[in-house]
Amino acid sequence: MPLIDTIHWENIRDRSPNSLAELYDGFAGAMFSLALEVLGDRWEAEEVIQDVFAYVWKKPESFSPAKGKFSSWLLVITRNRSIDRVRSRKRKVVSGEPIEVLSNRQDLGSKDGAEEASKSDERSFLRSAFKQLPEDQREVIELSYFKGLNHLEISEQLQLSLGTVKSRIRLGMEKLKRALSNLRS
Amino acid sequence: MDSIRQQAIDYLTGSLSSEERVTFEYELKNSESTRNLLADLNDDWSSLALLSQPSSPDPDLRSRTLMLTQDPPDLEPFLGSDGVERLRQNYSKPASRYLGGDGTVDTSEVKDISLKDGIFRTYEHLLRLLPLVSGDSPAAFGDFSDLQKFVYDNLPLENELSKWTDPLLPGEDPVAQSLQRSLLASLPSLAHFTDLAGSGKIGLSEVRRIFYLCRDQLKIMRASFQDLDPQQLAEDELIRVHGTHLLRQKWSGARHSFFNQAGLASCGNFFEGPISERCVEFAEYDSNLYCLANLIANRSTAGGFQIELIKDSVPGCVLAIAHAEVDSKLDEELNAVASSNLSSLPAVLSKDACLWSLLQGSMRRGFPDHSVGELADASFFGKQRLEGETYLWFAWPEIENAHSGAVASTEKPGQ
Repeated sequence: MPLIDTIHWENIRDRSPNSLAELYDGFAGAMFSLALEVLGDRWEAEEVIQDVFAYVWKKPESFSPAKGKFSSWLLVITRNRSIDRVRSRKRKVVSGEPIEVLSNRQDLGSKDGAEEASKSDERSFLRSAFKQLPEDQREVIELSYFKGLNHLEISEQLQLSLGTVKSRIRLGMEKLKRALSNLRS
Repeated sequence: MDSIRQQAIDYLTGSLSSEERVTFEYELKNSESTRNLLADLNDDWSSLALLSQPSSPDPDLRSRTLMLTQDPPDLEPFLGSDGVERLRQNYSKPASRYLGGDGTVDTSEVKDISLKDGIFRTYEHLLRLLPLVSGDSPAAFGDFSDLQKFVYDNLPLENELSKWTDPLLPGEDPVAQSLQRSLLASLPSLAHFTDLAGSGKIGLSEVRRIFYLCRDQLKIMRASFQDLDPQQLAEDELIRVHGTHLLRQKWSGARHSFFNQAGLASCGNFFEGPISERCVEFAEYDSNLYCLANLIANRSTAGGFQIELIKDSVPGCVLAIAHAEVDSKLDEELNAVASSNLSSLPAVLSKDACLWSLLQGSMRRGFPDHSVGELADASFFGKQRLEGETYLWFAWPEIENAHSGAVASTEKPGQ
């Protein structure tokens, strides 16, 4: 995860010069990648990023360190706003269609940045750990995180019991947590 | 603890029922260990963002985003001016909001056959252009080849535009107004940027600009000619609340052009909230803003101009303002345009006079209980100069309580 810490939030809260620029330079790429992954639409992803930065700038008190890491909070609101937009499109994944959640698109417009971002150790480690999960666990986590489907919707989509969906998400997340803990330690 | 852990996961993934959520949030409020557990899970959950395909935003987004930290201009001199005070004393809300329809005509009323064909041709052209510049198009990811081929294979929009707008005189009849709105509001800027695409001078920010302009132009054309796309027009007439954020996203840091005179827009004071109730009303509002932008962008001393949306300064209304530092000679031009004295107006200002006439027509639709003269006298719209700064503005009824209904978001046109 990029080095965004509580100090960045404190600087924004205190209206320090360049504080929003520093946050943008350190973290907009990760937020934009997430929004684009969820939305699949560059202009909408840009709008989400502008919305989130406007929100952080105008209402910094919405975050508090008690809620966890500032970077996690930023990603949560980026994802939530992106998912809200997807839901407002009222598009539903049609049962029986092949499910490809994570994109394979090439972003020619930002090639250098993308290559730079992909050098992140944590990113490549997480991707590798994710690939090692059983496919059924990967599938439910992707549908939950990137498509914003709740457990009931996933169970209907994949014709699984609710309990199976819950346990697959929990098991998958626990394995990823262990993998990341090993990396961080 | 396992049960709490599962509830926390369900909470994070939006899978709790509303009753379960209330119970869990009560637990969160009262238990530090649950709060810590959720914060921990939140970090794990958020790390999934790293699975996204890495992409970098366009550098242009950075400058647009950082505009948020700039202090908005001080509007007190304008808001305290005689013109706005006159509006404050005379403003009254119309009995009903603009629902669309008043400003529309049938294309059969356009007598010039080539012009009528041109309207349909342009609309169809833009319908084909739109998917080539949408946010999921190859052009939005840096591959401009399809867009360039399309522009190259089709007649440049600027040629068509020059053919129809030279000469063009202000007209009050609905056919003239519908034509001029279709030709002079967003089309000149759209023509400029699409022609840039044809010449290869294009990047992501220009593609984005074409997308927004194309979307607006389609909507303005549909609202102007009721038989152009009746099915989509019926959609546009449904209640769908539009917020000011849609205007900020579109105008903040936007490059703008009116017959090759370019300007850079920025957004100053913008209230948060709804501004129109239907796409047809938003098209009307958009068209008015384009008219102001077209008039001021050409004349700005520094090339930049500000757009402001002010609520509550005049009770019951929203003020849309475009302003810039303008040289006194160019400001005199705007005085002549706003005086609507056509006999004294040089031909070179005929398009500007049309823009002013469009604004007058729209104000009449927005406030049907008053004549244009009354609206002008009471400063419902106008032009004034204060301390070297030129201000153009129009008033529009505020939305007190938004009706229930859909909320417009990025609003891909045609959807």
